[in-house]
Amino acid sequence: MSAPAHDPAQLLERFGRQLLVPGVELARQAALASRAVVVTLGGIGPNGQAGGPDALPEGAPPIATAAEACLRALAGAGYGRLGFASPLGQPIEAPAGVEWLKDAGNAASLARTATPPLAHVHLAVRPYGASADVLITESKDGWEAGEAHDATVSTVVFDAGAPLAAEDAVAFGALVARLLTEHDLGLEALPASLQLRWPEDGGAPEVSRRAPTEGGAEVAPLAKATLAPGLLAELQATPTVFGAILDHVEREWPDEACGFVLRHDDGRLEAVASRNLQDRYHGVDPVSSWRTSRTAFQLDARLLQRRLDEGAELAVIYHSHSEAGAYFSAEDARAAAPDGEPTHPATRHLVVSVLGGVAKAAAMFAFDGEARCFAAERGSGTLPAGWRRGSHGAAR
Amino acid sequence: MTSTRTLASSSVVIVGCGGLGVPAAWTCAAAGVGRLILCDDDAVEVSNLHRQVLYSESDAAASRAKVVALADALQRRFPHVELVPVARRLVGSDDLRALVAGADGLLEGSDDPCLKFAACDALLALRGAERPPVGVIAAAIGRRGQYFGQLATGACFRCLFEAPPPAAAVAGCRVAGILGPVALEVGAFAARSLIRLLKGQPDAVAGALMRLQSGRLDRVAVTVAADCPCRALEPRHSGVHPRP
Amino acid sequence: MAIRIKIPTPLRKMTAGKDVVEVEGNNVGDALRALEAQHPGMWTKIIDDAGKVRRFINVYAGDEDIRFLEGLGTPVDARTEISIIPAIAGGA
Repeated sequence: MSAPAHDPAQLLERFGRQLLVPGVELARQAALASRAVVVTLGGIGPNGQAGGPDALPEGAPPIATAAEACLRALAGAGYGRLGFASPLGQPIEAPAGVEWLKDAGNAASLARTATPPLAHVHLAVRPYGASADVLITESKDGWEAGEAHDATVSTVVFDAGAPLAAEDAVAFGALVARLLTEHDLGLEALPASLQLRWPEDGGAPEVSRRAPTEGGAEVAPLAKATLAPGLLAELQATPTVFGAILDHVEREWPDEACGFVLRHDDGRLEAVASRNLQDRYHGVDPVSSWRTSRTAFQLDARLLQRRLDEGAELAVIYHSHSEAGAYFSAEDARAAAPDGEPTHPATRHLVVSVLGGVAKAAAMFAFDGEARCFAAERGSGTLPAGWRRGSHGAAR
Repeated sequence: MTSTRTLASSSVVIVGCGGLGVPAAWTCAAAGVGRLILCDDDAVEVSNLHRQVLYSESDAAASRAKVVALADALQRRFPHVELVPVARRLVGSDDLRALVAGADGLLEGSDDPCLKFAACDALLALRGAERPPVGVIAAAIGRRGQYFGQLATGACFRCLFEAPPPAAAVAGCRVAGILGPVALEVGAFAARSLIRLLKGQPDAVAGALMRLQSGRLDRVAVTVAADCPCRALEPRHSGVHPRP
Repeated sequence: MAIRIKIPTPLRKMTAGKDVVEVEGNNVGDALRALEAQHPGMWTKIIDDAGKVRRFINVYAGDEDIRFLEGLGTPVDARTEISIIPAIAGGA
């Protein structure tokens, strides 16, 4: 396997003039060699396809074919580091000319081997077709600490009215690869969501793009944590509670996990894991709820209400970010304070960064009424070594 | 819908095993088409690899025939598809007609405009057959592509374009450049439409030019041109007549 | 027939502090329009310009979000309590 080409002249010599696309700088194409893309799969049923036991043609299930088409298109476009992990376990042939990140057939260890600039592409079979969540982290700064706050998040919805069909697979994978390539070449930025809805009569698909949404409260950068140490320190001093949270968010990776912490009358803290209902909302209406559980969460509000009715106080709402930092995102702020006013002013928000299936950083946020923004407690950031996987279990 | 069973007993001719033919053949094999006839007279070159994504460095090093390399790559993935490599240059519509005569579908994705017209003429000549095949004719360049669906009735490729352009005016990908993932996308979308036609599902490509540009897929309906030779060919088995 | 609508804390400033409002209606949409008639401004706090329940607001009929039922057309009767609950949501 040859090393990725970095030199534009070398690239031109190798592939010829067909690389010269109007509006595309050769140097940018060459720069793709330093970028990593990791593809993982989700939404797969026991027979390799969601949505029922219909007979499938011989060979790979459609979502795996989509993943291979996506990876091969990216390799052809010049991406230098690629990886793939499937819960189905079957490998795909490594494309030519790339560093193949195949640490194991396990998505967690795969993602650990890749560092930014990194795109995680999560392809999932959905009742309506398939989705692709793309999360791009550009900078290595604060990556291990989970602090990086520069992720680009996009969801592609391929809505054909039925779970991804075999004849859709290569087309879907190629579409996702094209969007990512155009983004990284500076041709067209990834929208917050891109939706293709194929009408039942077989007509041309309706395509809708959603630009990043506005609104919500301001967020102060984690690096400027201003709130006095408080709940995060208290949680970390309560290993049974904090350990349960870390176990929960690691278990749900690469989906986001969510839950809450109650404070009882005697001061005791209790962590309650919730289901992440985001995929359920996305499934019935991928237009209004365009994100999936890979990049978003929706807590079970009825569960929360039942527990609060018992008389406890809602101390903390927690959720995880997969392959992204422990920052309070614009989306988090929009949800927690849709009109700029926090819905639960007395409640703090814990965000845990989960990289490669391992909780790496945790940050506690609250709405700062004077500064009119969400700010972090001091002490937020990389988890102390004692909180790595394996050690907190022993502490219980 | 017994789609996979129907497809398993159908055969598709792929003309051109390059940037469009590779994803098209891949899509057909994945969908469960029983027999794929792969036509191309080129050998794999290193310069192909950025868009003809099922070929490997070793295929290029050994100058393997594209049809053989593609048949291998697809057979490994889909053991039950029957692959028939045709490693020679197709000459004219009669040559193509002989290949397509027993087939159910044709996907033209070569970089030779003459072959696109030959594909059109071969399909027209077979309009009177017992089971006339359907075809999709595709092209891509730069960041855009298009594909046209030619059925047993209605408009043909010649209703859209009168004749091949002079050879000197043809800017093939060798000189004009193409974004690799775009070729893959156009070839796969074209084949997706062909599969839907073969399954008897409605698809926008029927009698229309689909244009993929900047992520938009537009449909341009094509009507039978007043002076097109296809007018002389009345479909024998269908009550549907082209709109005047 | 009277339907009970539970109002969340952030919206109680529009209902003079009331946590439950009783209205008439046969479906959720009618009930919310009746709520708007009693407490003007409530509708736009709950429903967006496209006529759908706002992002980050959930409306429950009994134990289920109406997005998984028949939306604003979800039938209700005196046994059904409607709850308006701000979503607890977010993402990377």
